[in-house]
Amino acid sequence: VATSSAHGEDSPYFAGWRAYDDDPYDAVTNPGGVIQMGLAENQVSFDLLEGFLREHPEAAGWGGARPGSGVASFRDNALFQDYHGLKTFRKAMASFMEKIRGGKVRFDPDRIVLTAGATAANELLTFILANPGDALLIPTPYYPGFDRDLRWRTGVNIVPVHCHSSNGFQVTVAALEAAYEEAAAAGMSVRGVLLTNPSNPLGTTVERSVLEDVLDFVVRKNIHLISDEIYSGSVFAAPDLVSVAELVESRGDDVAGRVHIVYSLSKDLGLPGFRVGVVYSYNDAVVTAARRMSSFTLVSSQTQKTLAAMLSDAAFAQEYIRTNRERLRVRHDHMVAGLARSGVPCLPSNAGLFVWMDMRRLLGDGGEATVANELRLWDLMLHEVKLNISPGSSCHCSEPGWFRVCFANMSLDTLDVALARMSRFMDRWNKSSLQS
Amino acid sequence: MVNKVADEPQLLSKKAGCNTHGQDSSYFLGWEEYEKNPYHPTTNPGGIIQMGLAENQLSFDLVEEWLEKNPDALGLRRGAASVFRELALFQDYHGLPAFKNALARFMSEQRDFRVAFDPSNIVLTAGATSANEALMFCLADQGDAFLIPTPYYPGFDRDLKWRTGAEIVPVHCTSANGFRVTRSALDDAYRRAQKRRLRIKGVLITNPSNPLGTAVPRADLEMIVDFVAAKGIHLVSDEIYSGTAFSEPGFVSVLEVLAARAPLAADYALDDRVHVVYSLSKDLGLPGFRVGAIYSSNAAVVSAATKMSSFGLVSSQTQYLLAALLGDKDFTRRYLAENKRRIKERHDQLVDGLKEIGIACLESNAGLFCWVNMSHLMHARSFEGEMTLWKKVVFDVGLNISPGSSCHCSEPGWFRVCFANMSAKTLDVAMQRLGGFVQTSSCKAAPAALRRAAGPARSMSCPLAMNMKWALRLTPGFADRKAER
Repeated sequence: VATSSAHGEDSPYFAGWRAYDDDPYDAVTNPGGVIQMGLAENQVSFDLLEGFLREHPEAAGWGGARPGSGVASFRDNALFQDYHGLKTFRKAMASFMEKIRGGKVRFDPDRIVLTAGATAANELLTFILANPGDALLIPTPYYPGFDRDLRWRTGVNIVPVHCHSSNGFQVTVAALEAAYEEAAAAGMSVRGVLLTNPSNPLGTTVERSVLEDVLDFVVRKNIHLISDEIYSGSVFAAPDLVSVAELVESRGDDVAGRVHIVYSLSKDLGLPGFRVGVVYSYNDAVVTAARRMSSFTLVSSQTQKTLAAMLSDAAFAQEYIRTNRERLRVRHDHMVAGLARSGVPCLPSNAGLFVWMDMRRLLGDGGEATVANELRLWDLMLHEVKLNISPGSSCHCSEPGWFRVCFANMSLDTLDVALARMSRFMDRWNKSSLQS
Repeated sequence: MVNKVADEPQLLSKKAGCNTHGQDSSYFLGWEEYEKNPYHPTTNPGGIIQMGLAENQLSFDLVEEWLEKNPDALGLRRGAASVFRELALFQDYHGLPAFKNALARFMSEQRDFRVAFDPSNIVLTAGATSANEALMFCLADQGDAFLIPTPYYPGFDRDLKWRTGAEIVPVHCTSANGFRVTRSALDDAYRRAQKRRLRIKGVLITNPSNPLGTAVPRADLEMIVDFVAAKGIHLVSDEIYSGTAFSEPGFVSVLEVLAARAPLAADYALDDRVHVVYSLSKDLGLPGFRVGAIYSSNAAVVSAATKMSSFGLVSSQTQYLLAALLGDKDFTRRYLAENKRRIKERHDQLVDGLKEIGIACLESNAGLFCWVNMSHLMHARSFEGEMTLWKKVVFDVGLNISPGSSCHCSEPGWFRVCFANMSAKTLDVAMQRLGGFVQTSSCKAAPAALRRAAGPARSMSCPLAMNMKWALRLTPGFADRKAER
């Protein structure tokens, strides 16, 4: 396992990161540096979190811990390594997840299994649902990290479900069936489908009818559905998120045992450093196995306590969700408008921390729409335009020319600098195309 | 929400369904009994006293005092500035440099600065549980074996084997020489592994030992190093209890032995094959914070383990706090000394208390527990006798201790008894209860239900065979316990 390259660190996803690390943009000290647009971080709402901590200093510490005060003492907290997780924190997470879904579904805190990030949650579910050599079906384009998270130590395979721009990259039953056949032909036993909803890298929510189709498919094949809803709090425009939880509640026993949801606070709260992930399963055996397995990846009790305080504050949580969405919408709209002015379209999107940018035109027509050309363009963007964006091929997109571009990890000023660079680049490109 | 459809076992992986997670062993059963009826000096004086949990609760006040004096560390501030944003985003698997530096220094200080730790050789993981598993993934493939001296920490069966598919081959140690590892025991284990056609990848020792509570003697470490050198295999030294060595001969780290035998190390590229595991769960009593570490001079191991740590990173909030705590040299110096002093005091109280009632312990100089010989109290000198005795101690005497069989001890009658997770008064109560039980046993009276100060009478009418009990408990929903040492 150690020597295989399934850790995936030789891909462009990481190469771009390295180029940024070597020459990072800074408005004052390095205005010509690489702007990091390959990192799906949410930096737009920290002030809200900092404000909460300032007003509630006891959340970060253990002051005021008198018997009966309801504040866990330092020693109790430091000793707490129960893989059930802090009850107050699970309750807070359940209620936060409900708020994000507009109260349309209920989450049972006892079905929440905490893990150190969604990275761990996804790997854990893979260990539980699949044996080495088995396969998970994943619609393309998908988050490059899955290649490592789901395959590396588990020995499980990913079989892509090819999606196309012709229908906005929505998953179709035909594509699912085709992927299933492909797996079977290769002698792999398919154990489940993994959806990311809202999608990374598309930034779109999955349509209800598509979700229904996917559920019908997993029932038909007697397999599982993992719904990675890590971006659920970032839906800033219609249509509303339809979480698979809604469908489980409406369809009941038919599907419940097959459905598992992954969540994390890394995107919605912008706290990837705190390592908070969730496996939520409607299957008791999975919850039990996941809980035991979470021993390898528990969340720091210190962090559980701090975030329990924050997310239990219903007014704060509600306000945070609302404000965060609005700020993301502003960023998104600004980005899309700026790119449009430069003549670069994006896939219409209503969620996420990024846009799915369409640069197919720049690859040329016919035989020039290749991955090689996409990577050449990516290299140009990275080393000449100095924007680290993610090439669609690293997301296993079947159509060359698409790029994921993040907008929530920088100030509006920096975003403007990036848009200006794009604009100048497109000007040059258009001029040189006219000349040739 | 019901889940009838997917309950069929074949819908989950083999790993999910098997019980290599070890959750069904006696180690956890005693825990369950404790959780049903936990001792409390005022509200439940007749309850079960937890002596099966190797926690260090003796020195929290020292840390609490430090926290009060250093509010920035908790408040995520650095002077006037807030570091919240920076920490919130920090998910670099190389770890917070300030924390790794402080940890490297702390680990060195625990070894009286006889060994230097290079921070860049440290990989941070969510606890030693995660560190041990990650090392297995790095060093062993499915079906490969590690040799582990018995008795050993029951959690290894899960941590090292469950998801990795690795095998453990026990190295049998006996009371004839105080359970020390011998070359012949290692050779015997190696042969047994070969007979099973297993590829042996290494030896794993815990030093100081859990459950023995002994620091591994220097000569034994040298012998083990010679063995792994000769076989061309790895050595993992789990030094999680390194800060609990309270008396002479002190703790010697395998890294000291390597350093002292540089020519051998160079010849056999031993630096590449010796790896240390550490954690703050025992020394600092912070198991909830999930702070573990792998230390290795093997660049490939560090590289792979670092990437793997993505699956179990330490919260940046916690790294920041501990960087400050461990970076305070005054604190670490005072803490290490005082913590040891208190551990020794509690240890002596247990040992003396047991001696008074005619129970002997393995002589120990470390750990948060004693390895106690209760074989003379068994009705039969067998593992069945050990289990019968254990059940009596848990249910009738009201002490949750750990039977040696759960630690894979090859001789029945030994029990691990923890002493650092309770007050001195509670330890007294435990000794009184045990004393009463010993008296009754030696009078060879009928097994009357034992007197605790008060509380509900408990009796084991028609006790089921242990494996029957476990079979009943294989259904999910039971005994979901925090499964830690």
